[in-house]
Amino acid sequence: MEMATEPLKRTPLFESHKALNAKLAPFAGYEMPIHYQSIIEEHQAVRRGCGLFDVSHMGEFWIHGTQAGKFLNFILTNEIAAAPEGAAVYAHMTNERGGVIDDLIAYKISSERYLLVVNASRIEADWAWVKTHAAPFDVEISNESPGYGILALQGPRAMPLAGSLIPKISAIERFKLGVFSIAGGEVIVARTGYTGEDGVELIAKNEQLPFLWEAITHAGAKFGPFSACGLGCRDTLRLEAGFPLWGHELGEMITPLEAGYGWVIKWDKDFIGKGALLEQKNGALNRKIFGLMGKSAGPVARQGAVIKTREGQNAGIVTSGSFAPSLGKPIALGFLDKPYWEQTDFVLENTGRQLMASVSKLPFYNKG
Amino acid sequence: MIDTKSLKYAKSHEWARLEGNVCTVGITDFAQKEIRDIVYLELPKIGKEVRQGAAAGAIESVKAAFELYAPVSGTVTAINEKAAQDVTVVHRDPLGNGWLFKIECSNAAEINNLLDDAAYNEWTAQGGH
Repeated sequence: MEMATEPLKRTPLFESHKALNAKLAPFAGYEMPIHYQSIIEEHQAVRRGCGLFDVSHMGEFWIHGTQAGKFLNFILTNEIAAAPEGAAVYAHMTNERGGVIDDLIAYKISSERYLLVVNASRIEADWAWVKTHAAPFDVEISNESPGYGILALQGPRAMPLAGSLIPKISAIERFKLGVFSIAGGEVIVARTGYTGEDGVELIAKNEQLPFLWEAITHAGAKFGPFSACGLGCRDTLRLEAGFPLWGHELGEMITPLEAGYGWVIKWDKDFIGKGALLEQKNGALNRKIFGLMGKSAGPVARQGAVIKTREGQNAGIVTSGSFAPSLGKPIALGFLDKPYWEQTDFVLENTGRQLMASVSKLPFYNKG
Repeated sequence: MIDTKSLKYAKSHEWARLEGNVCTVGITDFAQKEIRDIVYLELPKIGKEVRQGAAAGAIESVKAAFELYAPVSGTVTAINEKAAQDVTVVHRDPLGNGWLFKIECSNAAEINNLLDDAAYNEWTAQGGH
C-alpha cells in the first residue's frame, strides 16, 4: 500500500523562484525556496543592504466584529484590545497549561478588524483553537491563508527602498502598520520582521504579490547589496537575533516563561493559560532558554545536542543551533535546567562531536 | 588547472590522487557545489588509521553535517591546516589548494576500486546518490 501524500502547495511567486534558480524544498506543506545563491551571501545582504523573502506559506486569519479585541485578549497573552489602531503586537496563543500553541503577530487595522499572521506549520492547529473559542464572542472569523501572501523586505536599507516606491511607508513606526492601495488592492505594510534588522512585511492577496515582488526587485539594485532570500538565511538571521521558532524554543509543552518571553504576558487581564503561567511565575520555573556561543570555530550543535557541564553532568538540551555568519562561529539556543543557570561554560555534545561554549546575552548579534 | 583525468573518485564524492604511496584526498567540485556554505571542517588527526569507505572526518555547512570518507586505507600523514582555518578555499579550489588530507596507503591497489573521471561524471550526471 502506498502512503497518500498531499501534493506540495506553491506560493504565488513559485515561477519567480524557479526563474532565479532557487533550491526548493518542502516546508510546512509548501514548496519553498531555501536559498537562491548561498545562505551566507543572502544573510549578509540582509545585514548590510536588504533582502526580499517570500513568506507566503504563513497563515492569515481575519477577526472582525465588535468583540474582536476582547476575543483576542482572551486567547492571546499580550494586550490587543487596548493597543492603538495601526499597532502590530507580538503575542503567544497559549493552552490551559500555559503551553504555546503558536507565536504570532496581531495586526490591528481598526478596533473591529484584526489580522493574525501565524506560522505555516501551525495553521490547522491554530485555526481549530480559534474556532473553538470564538463561539461566546460577537466576532466573525475567517481563515484566508490560501488566498493571501506575504513579502518580507529586511535590512538596514529596506526602509529607504520601500520609501523610494511609496514615500508614505517611511512614516510607519516600528511595530506599526499602514494600509495602502497598490496593484489593484489593499496592501498591509507593517514595520515588523524576523531578522533583527529594520524592514517591512507586506501582506496582500495572492494576485498582487508578483507585482510587489517585481517592483521591489527592480528597485533593489539601488539599495544593495540586495538579494532574494530563502528560508535558509531566515533561520540564521532569526537565530543571531535570538528569536524563538515554534517547534524549537516554543511548543505546546513549553511556556512563554520557559522560552524567556515573559514580556509577552500581560497579567492584568484574563486569558487562557493565565492560572498555570502565574503558578510557574511564582516559583515553579525549572528550565529556561539561554543563548550559547561557541568559544571558537567548531562543530555546530544542532537541535537535540546535549548541553553538559565541564564535569560531564547533563545540564540541558539544544533547541536550535547554527553557524552564525555575522559572528563567524557556531551559536545555539537551548534549555538549561535550573541548577545550572548561574554557570557560564558548557560543552555541547552531538553524536560524539563537542563544542566548547559559553552563555551569551541575547541577541547574539547587535546591528552596527 | 588540475587534470581531472589524473584523479580517482569515490561515489561519496571524495577525489583521490596517488603519488608514490601517498594519496591526497579532497572533495569534488560537484560536492562543494551541492554542500554550499561550508563553515567547518573536521579533519582526521595525523596518525589516524583509516579504512577505505569508512568515515574519516566531516564537513559542515550552515544547514547540515556531511561525513567525509577515506577513499583508501592507510595512515593519515598530513592535513590541510590552511583549509581548516579558511574553509572557503574548498569552494574556490576544491581540487587544488582545497585538498583535505593525505594518506600513506596500506594497500595502494585499493585505488583501482574507485571510479575514473568518465565513470564519476556519469555518476554525477545521474544525480550522484
